[in-house]
Order: sequence, then structure tokens, then C-alpha cells
Amino acid sequence: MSLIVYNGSPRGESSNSSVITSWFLEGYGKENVEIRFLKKFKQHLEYAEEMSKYDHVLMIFALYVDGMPGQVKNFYEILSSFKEELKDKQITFIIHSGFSDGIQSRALEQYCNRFSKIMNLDNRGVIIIPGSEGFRLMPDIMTKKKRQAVSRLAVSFKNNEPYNKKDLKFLFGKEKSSRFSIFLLKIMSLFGLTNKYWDSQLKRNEAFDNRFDAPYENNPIPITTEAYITNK
Amino acid sequence: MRLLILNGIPQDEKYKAYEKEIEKEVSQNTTCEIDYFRLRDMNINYCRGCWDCWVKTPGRCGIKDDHEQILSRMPNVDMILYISPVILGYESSILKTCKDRSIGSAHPYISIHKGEQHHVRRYEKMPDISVMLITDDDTTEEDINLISSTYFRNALNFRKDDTSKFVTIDNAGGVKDVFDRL
Repeated sequence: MSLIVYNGSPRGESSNSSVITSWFLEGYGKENVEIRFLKKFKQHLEYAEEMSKYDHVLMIFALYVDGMPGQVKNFYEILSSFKEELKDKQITFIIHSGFSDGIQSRALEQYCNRFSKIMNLDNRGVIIIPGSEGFRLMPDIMTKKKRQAVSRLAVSFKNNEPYNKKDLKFLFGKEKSSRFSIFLLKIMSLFGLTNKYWDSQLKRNEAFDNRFDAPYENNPIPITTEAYITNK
Repeated sequence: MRLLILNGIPQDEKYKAYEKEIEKEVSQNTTCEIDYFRLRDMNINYCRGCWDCWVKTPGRCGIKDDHEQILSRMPNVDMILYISPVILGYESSILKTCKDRSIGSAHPYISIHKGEQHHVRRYEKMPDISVMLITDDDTTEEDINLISSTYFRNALNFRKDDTSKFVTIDNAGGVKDVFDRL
């Protein structure tokens, strides 16, 4: 069996998508596996041409402004020229997001299914993993159970078995935060604990005092593009 | 009303006449103050996920290209009209790439809005959202509903308390009709 992984993260190699891919490959195995990074957008045509050579496809990317990153959509548009060659190709999707609510990823999940249908792909399932921001910085112990669940799903994908619903549910977590979680979040935010991750980065960049800047409030920059029309 | 129009139509003969009609309407419209951008002819790079707009230069993107002309207008208009053909059941990659680059118009901080986690907004006021979809024979109701639900989530992330102002429009009634409905 062979697998091609398309990592759609704008961060490429140093992304949370890469971390989750490594979990997936613990189950699938690393032989006959190739990984392509869609941030290299000039190679999209080449990447699209080679997809038909592989038995399996994994598309993995983070939720970006409620959808897939722009480079992933660009890749899909190029892939559409290869619809005939890709008919019935087995594909699975992993979408992850910084939000811990699963609901944020539902529209994108629907689109992964719709895209597969339009392209006549054999969609084996969409794996949703909320709360992924910081996976790449977390110690293994903190992500162990998620890593194991992803790894088990990868084994099922390779063996053409249906995904274990318990694993999918565990990774997905809750559709929306419970009232108790919301209460807890509010208490934590009172003490600035929810912002710690971002605050530490702001401080490191000496930008903490500017964190609430609104640089363009009543301050649009001059127009230089020729692709602009106004009636003012 | 101040209106920002982001035209995500790709280079394709089949959209040419339609686009001409849109641009004519923009020039002649007397009911709105319009800023119109034809995205495919601008230098707009993909977001690189560096989060400079959150943690280094809050509100400003680390990539210096034409997109700043759009980003700097977003908090200063009443409505954004996104225009795209339905391509593979979704908005165009050109439009999606432009939207990705607006991440800095919100904070990285999260708070609860309507029972869900959302980014805290950076600006006091963010515009309402509307969408003009150019459909063809392959477009299904499922496509329209799916794109609508994505824009509904965009509106939530803009913290629009009244999402009823969010409208999705196809080209059935013609360009003039779309502008009248806004």
C-alpha cells in the first residue's frame, strides 16, 4: 500500500498538521509514504499529477477563517482537471483547529464530503481534531491519548476498515463547550490564564503593550493598485 | 452606506460579461460609497501562518503586499460584499486567500459569544457581510447552503450580533438587482 499526504498548513513542516501527520504514520507505517507541503504552491500542478499513483490519500490542514486555507482550495481547483484519473481514489481528511469547540469545523467537514462527491473520490471519513493550537509545543504526555487515537484510525484506513466511532468522538470532543466549561473559561480569563500562550509570545516580541492596537481605525492606507474602482 | 466589494472572480472568459456589468454598476451607483477591488489583478500572497498580525505587529500583517489596502478598509465600511463564482462547490481560491489574510482584524484571544468560542474583535465596529455567488448548471442547493453556512460562521467571527443582515445572493436576478437588495 502507498500513501501520499498533502499537508495544507501555511506553516508547512513546522505545523501542527505535521505533528498530527506523524501520529497518523505511527499507525499507517512510513514505508511507501510521501508527504507534500501545499505551501509550495508553485508545485501544485506537479503534486496533483502524481496523486493517482498512490493507493491512499491523506489531506490534512487546519481550519482557516472557517474553511480550508486558500492554498488548499487552489490545489483542489487544479486537482479538478484530473477527475477521471482520480475516480474512486481512497481519501481521508484530518481537519484541526485552535478552537476547542467542534462546531467550528462542521461546515468544513461538510465541504470535505462535498468535494469528495464532486470529484468521485472514495471518502473514508473526516477526522476532526479541535484544540490543536500548541500541539507542536506540548510534551508528549499531554497529547498521548490523541496520538494513539489518530494512530488507530490510520491502521483502519490502511486496512480498509471503518473508523472506530469512539476514537472519532474522542478526538472531536464536544460540539460546544458545556456551561461548566464556559463558567471555568470565564473565571480563568478573569485571571488572564486563557491568554497566557498568546501573552508570552506578545511579550517575547515586545508587543504586549500594543496588543489592543487597532491600526486601521479611521486610517485606510492610500490606494496603489490599479485593480480598484470607486464611485466616490 | 460605505461598501467594500471584494471580487474573487478568476480569469475566465465565461465571467467576463458579468464582471463588466458589476464594474459598470460600481461606477454608476449613487446609493453607496464603494471601494471595489478585483483581487486576481492584485499582488495578494497566501497567509504563511506566522501570526505576526497577532503577536508581533498587532493588527498588521507581516506580509507586505497589496492586501493591506483591503485590510485597512475593513473596519471603516458598513458592509463587505464578497463576489465569487461557485467553483467545486465553494468560493474561489482567490477570494479564500484574501479572507485568510484578514485574521489580524481579530485578536488571538478567545471569549464566549453566543455560547461558542470566538476571537475577541480588534475593532469596535466590523462590517456586515454579504455574498454574491455566480452559479452555473453544476451548482446545487447543497453548494449554496454550504457556502452560506461558512459565511454565517464568518459573520459570527466578526461578532455580528444581528446576523440577519447576512445575505447570500446568486445571479438569478442580475447585478442591478443584487445592488438594490443590499
